[in-house]
Amino acid sequence: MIYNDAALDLFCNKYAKDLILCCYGNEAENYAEDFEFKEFHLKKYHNNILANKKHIENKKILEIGSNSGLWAILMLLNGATHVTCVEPRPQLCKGLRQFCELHNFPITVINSTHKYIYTTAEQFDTTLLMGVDDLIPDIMSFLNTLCNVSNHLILKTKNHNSIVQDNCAKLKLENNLALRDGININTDISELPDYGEQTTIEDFVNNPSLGRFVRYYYGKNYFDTLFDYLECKVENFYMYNNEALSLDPKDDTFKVYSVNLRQQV
Amino acid sequence: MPSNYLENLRFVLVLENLFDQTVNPEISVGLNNDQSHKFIVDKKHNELVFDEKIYSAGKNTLTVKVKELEENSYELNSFIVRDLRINGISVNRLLYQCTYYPHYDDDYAKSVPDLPQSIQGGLYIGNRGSWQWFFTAPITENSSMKLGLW
Repeated sequence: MIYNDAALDLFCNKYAKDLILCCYGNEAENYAEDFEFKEFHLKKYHNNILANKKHIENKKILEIGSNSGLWAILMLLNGATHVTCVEPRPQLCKGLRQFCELHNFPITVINSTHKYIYTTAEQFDTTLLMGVDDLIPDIMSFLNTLCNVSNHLILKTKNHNSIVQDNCAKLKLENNLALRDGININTDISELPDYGEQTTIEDFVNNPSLGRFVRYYYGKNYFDTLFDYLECKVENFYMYNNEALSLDPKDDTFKVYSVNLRQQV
Repeated sequence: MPSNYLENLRFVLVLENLFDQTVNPEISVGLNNDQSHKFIVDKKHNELVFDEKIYSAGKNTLTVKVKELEENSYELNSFIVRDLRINGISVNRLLYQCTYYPHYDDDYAKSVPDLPQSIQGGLYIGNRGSWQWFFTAPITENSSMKLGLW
């Protein structure tokens, strides 16, 4: 398939297969062989990367919750000079490091969580936070600290309009029972299993605190209010729906903010 | 991407043989009406690998059928479905999107009234029969699973 986008064409034709095999192993070889960008990938790519290209090109990037490194690689193919990927799941860190060695990509992989920003002395031009804001306890403190670490923020969040009022947040205790669940950040991250599975079904019944985490559900104006309070300037935002097959499409309103963290309102 | 199929999935079904009777079960596994993959659950820990192509979007059923013995099928070892991986990733809690349809020994069924004909979320295969796991294709685009690159 041809996407008429140089970075995307290059990624799909040259790098996608190796990235999949590095991260998910030989059991993913059919998927790797057939991989192509789907509609939901394209929506993310356009709303998160292309729409923010001026904050990516020639910039030093920090990505919190980088997962397989897909978006980090696409940012580099769109002109970023370096990406630091922060990801708690050991196999995804290992896989991305292996991929970077294979293809010589300027990516530094940090096996950690959002807590990385509280300890790093590094400075970044842009931070990418795509869909992990709902797993960060005390998001206000996090963003306040991020203002000292990064000039700009690209934040993709999800509005739960049907269950939370505009400026409110709701929290829910959940258990780590699947690949993309949150993790209990109070446990030792260095001891996480390959894909971060902290809880088995048996644990869920017998030791439910083991992989327990809090997920936050935000109303549609929550972050606008937060940025207002932190005196950060929202340069622009995009909204889109139905990223992919969803269990509850009415909740699927995504909002991507592009925020200047250093310029006061 | 070949145009004649929607996705080509690699399944790894993890079964634990409980060794509590005498005969290792022979099972046939596959999607919807085609259980063409044959395995014998002959070890304590079995990882059964098979590929399946899916041709259209919508609901699909992965079925495991236990082959009956010509006689004394009650002697078959029971087993437990421990995990299911797709493209290298465990479905984890979604393993419970399943139903076990037990096939009881006639004498046993007569002696125990009101035996369940199906057990939702049942992973213990102790009375032969069939086990089904349900999913919607394309599974690699399912936001509750997020298999692969997202």
